[in-house]
Amino acid sequence: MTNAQDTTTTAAPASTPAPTRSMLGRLPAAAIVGLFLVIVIVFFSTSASGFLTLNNVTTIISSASVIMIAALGQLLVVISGGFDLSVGGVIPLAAVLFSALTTKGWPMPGALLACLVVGVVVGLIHTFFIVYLKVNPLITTLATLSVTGGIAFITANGQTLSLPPAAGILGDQVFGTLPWHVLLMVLLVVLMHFVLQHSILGRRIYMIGGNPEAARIAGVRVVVIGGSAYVLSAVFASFAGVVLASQLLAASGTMGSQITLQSLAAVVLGGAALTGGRGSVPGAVVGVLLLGVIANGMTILLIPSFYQQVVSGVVLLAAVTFSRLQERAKRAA
Amino acid sequence: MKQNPFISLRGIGKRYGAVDVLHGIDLDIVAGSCLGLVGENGAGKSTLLGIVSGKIAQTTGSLVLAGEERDFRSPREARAAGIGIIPQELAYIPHLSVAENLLLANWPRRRWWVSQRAMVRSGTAALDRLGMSIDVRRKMTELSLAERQLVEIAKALLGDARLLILDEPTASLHARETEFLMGKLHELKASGVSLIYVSHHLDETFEISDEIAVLRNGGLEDLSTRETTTIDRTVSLMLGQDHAFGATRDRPTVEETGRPIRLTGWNTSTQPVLVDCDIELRHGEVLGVFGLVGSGAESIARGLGGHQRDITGSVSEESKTFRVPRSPRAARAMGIAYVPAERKTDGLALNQSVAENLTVMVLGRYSGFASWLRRRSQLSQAKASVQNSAVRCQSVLQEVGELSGGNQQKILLASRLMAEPSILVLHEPTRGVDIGSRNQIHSQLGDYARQGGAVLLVTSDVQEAIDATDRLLVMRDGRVIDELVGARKTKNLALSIAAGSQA
Repeated sequence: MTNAQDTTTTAAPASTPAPTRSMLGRLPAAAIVGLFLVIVIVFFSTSASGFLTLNNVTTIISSASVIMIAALGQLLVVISGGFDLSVGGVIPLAAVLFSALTTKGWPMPGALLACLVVGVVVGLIHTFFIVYLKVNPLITTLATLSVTGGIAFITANGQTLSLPPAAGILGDQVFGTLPWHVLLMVLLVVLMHFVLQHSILGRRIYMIGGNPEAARIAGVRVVVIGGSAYVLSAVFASFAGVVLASQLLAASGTMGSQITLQSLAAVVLGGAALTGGRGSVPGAVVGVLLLGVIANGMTILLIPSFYQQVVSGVVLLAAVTFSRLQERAKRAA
Repeated sequence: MKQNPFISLRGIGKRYGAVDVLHGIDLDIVAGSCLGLVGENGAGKSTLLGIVSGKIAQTTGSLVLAGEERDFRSPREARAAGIGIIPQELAYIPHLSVAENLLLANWPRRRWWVSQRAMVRSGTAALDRLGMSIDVRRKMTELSLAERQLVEIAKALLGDARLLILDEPTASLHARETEFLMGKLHELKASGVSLIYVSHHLDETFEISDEIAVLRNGGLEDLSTRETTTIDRTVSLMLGQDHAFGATRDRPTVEETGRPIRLTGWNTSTQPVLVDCDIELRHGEVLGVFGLVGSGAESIARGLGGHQRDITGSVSEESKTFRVPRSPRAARAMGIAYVPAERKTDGLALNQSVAENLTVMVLGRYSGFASWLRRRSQLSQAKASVQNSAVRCQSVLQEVGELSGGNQQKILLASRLMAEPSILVLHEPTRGVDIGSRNQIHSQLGDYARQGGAVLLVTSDVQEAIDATDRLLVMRDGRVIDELVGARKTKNLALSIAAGSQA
């Protein structure tokens, strides 16, 4: 049944890469960022003394763990074709709530559960507006960012709350210098990698991110799948808030507000596309580490923190530009 | 009869590389007359229109305008010379007012400010010329499609167009709106504007045109005045002698052995309308529904796919009766798989892999412990499906967007076949697909029917309607007009009925 004409039109790019298709088009985006990460690490380990020590590596990973947890949720939403700006409001809300509840004498698991429930509620609100009513995700999550952040301030009465020492368990060391929250973060990273790559839900998230209309016509429950991405994102954000509060034994309405952009930046650095359907957990890990390493290295070199912001911004722009060029090279091929 | 032509085409030809898409076209368009341009898809109509409107440069020949040889290097130059084109897809700005759209090229200004008063005045004057009284402050989106079309015409006339090219202007209009537009076009002709009218609807073409030009394979096949030709003769000329008789199908027509599925009382008032459509589809056959754009055939496909919610009516098989499915999931629950017409927007996720796209309808089948995916069986079935459908790809993990259109279409069909539907509904399954893939897809449909599936093929491609079906229904204006089987199933008859010359 196959025929000559078909063969000539399709076999050319299949058998041998056409000469027009550049190197740029074939490298996975995350690999380039990974390479860049290695270069940055080599740079800092030669120029910043004390960078490549066990102690400092632990510092990098532990300070990156909150961002990593939030980025996992962000990743799901971005792959499904949306994004979640409310992360920076849900984190302080969960942190403040956790602090208030534990201060009142709630047991730690109960307080944690209550915070996660708040996350589920925020996620369901997003699902209703963004996935069901199809309101723009930018506007919706900007609104909920403002609302959740505001409620956090109200709950904390504008002050920095402290937590009872028992609530600091997540920041305690489990073995060596490794704290509990890092262990949990690693477990979540592995779990989410498997969910995305090897579960029905994960594959469906990629599909609706790739083309929601095609998925709907094929009978996929787009609202359920897209909704689970938003719910998981808010749950991860509230867990990140709890970790942050537990780590610092303090909570305020401002903490973690910058994590919205950091998580989005990390996910995009890791090869996710804001148009949906692309992205991976290993990529997001590399993205988070890159941002974390740059911040840490510059701190060791005693470069003021506001320069770090500038550098992070430039790195993000470079990565996005690069992936755009890559896309173009692919299309030209 | 032969007055001074407004524009003359002399030996116009166009080559793309070694491909000769247009050759030796000589045409005169007299001021105040209308030339109807007809031909099958690929006959060279769009190329010719492109050349006259300055979008495409001709390879040979010349355009003579008012005794002067002209070469348009851009649509802007053609417009300046008085040639306006109303493309099939109107190009207006939806959220601006009618007046703002009319004067888009040149908004009246006072210093740095736009003068709304002058805008409304000039806009109203422009519509007056067409005898239209619409409040020009209304937004374009508030107008009916026919009114939008007329606003576009008024816009072209504002640029002093003396020749208007209309490319399928009625494709999305109701009968009543079409009539209204025709009336206005007659008035325009009377006022001395020349028209080139391109439409698959031959009845309209005959109503408005003074001369009919038939293009076939890039050449001018015939040029006759309306009085000296007929729709049937035109259809034969369009198709050529070799296609005058229907291709006989090597597969015997299936007798009425399969269980019938009845679509009863299908109605919708949104465009394209359906009026009391009853269709009987049988297991074991490929039933074709042929109609031009706007005939309602597309609504049958979309309705069965759960892709259009506003259709009333029922679908029944044996003793079970369902409503027209209201969602793709409902359609699927009824055992229907639907291949939508737009594979890129509605059919495939182009940045996902071949395997993911193939298994989109049946992913639940590979659900293992705690809904983990049994990836190995997913991939092996995807591979088997790629083999069966003769898809050419490097691996099932390759992104679908990297494949050719024909292979994408094969994947779309294969993904629906994987669901093993009892009713397979296809809408324009081979649009923009190479001939090899097209044959492959057609033979797969036949195979599926022979295994007991009921296949409904909705198409506006007459060749496909004849080649790939056992039985053919022809639709026009939302009604099933005729059923063609056996010796009556010919391209000529199908086209004539769809285009409105016979009932």
